[in-house]
Amino acid sequence: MNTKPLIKLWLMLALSLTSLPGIAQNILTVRSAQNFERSMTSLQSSIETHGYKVAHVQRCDSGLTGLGYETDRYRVVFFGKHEEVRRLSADFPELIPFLPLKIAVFAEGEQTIISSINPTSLGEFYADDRLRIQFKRWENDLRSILSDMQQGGSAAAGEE
Amino acid sequence: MKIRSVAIALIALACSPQASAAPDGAALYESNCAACHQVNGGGIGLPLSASKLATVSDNYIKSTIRHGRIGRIMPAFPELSSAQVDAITAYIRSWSGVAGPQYPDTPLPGDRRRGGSLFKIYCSSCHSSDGSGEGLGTGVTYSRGRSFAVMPPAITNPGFLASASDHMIKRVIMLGRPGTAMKSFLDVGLRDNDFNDLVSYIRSFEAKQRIPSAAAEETEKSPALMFDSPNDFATTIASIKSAIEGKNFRYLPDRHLEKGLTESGQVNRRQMTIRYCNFQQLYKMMRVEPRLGVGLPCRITVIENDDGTVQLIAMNMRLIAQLFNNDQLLEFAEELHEIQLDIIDEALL
Repeated sequence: MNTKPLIKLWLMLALSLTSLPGIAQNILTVRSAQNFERSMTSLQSSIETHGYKVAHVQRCDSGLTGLGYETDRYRVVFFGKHEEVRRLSADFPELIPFLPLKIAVFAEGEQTIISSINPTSLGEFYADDRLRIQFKRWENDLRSILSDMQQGGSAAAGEE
Repeated sequence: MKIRSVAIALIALACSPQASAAPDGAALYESNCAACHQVNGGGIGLPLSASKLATVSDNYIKSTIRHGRIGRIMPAFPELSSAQVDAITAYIRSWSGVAGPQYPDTPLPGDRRRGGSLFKIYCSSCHSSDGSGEGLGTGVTYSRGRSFAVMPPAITNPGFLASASDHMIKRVIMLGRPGTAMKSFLDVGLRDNDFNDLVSYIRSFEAKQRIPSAAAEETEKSPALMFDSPNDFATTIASIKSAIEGKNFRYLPDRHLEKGLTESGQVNRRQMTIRYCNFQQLYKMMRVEPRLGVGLPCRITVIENDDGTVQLIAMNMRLIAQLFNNDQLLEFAEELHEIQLDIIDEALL
């Protein structure tokens, strides 16, 4: 039996599955030329400029290094708008695991990577149109914040 | 008259410099690629160095952008237009200033079985016996120990096999990749038919591709796991903590959901988030997916509703892990998902 056509068919199917619209943007990620400390400061500033409040910064590296693991600097920044979090958690308790919003920040040498789940990618799991609009708003804000990080990083690199 | 004016305006717009401007490859690269590959092509994955670019064709780069690497972080970029993919490719190519090689699409004849024997001798120590690459990890970067300066790629990946022609694979084996552990096997003494046999064996990985399992399709579609608690608010919280410890996880200090977002006195005290972690598990997962922090830490939120009922709500890790293009993460997420369900089961007893 000639299996080549079947293999080709599978390969095309596998590749087409990865070609679903938006799959590339489930996780929004940018690189900043700023070092980790400066990126953390810039990020919190940008978050607040966009009307959010930073609720908490979670260290993820301290526990690891404490146990002897080799790791880079790593933080998760939690942020939100109080009224928005209160309203959404009451109306949509199933959204609570994603509240407040968060951005992961980690060092890569003298540069910094900043990542976040794209809220719009959650849209396919939630049927309510109000949430879809909310997710899009968050996506726009996150993209703008990440863009600030990318551009700020580039500018800083140019200055140094 | 009005219709004619509109038509003229539309034609003028279509012919305007902005509408006809070619995509900016540098800008597209910065927004789509630089986060991982850095501005100069370093970063994770194989460095986009001049020596690498000298061995890959433009078609290979374009196909790689288009299809990505299934399950290996590098996503597919189906939303980019052909012109945009061309522009990114041209931009990457401009770094070396040398045109890429062109390879025939024709398959190479070879002895697959003999190629398998050669693969075992010369290739498997880096690419592993099944061609899937060197163990855990994503590339040269992030929070992980690095046993290789550059991670050997998974040459079984459908994205790779669809992008690389037989002739390109042969050339890479012959000449190696300077600056990486991939040496020239011409220098090792292999001959032309050896290379053809190896290519034939590597191409045979297409037949062994794992078909996406039906189980993945059947995964529940809710990103949140929600359960009613038979106990009151305080008892539920205490039960969860006890169950977390029983699973060898540590819980972090209690945190109300709204804490930090408003004055302390205004925080809703009937929404308590219990965060927990097992650092060994965390380290394993961060090695395979450095962006994992976007879902950290593990947490279960307990809420007390106005009618006094109590609920537990947690992230569906199995589902959220699917947002990453990372098969290795999926395996760990499945394990964590089961642990989380056990914790909740025990807490609800």
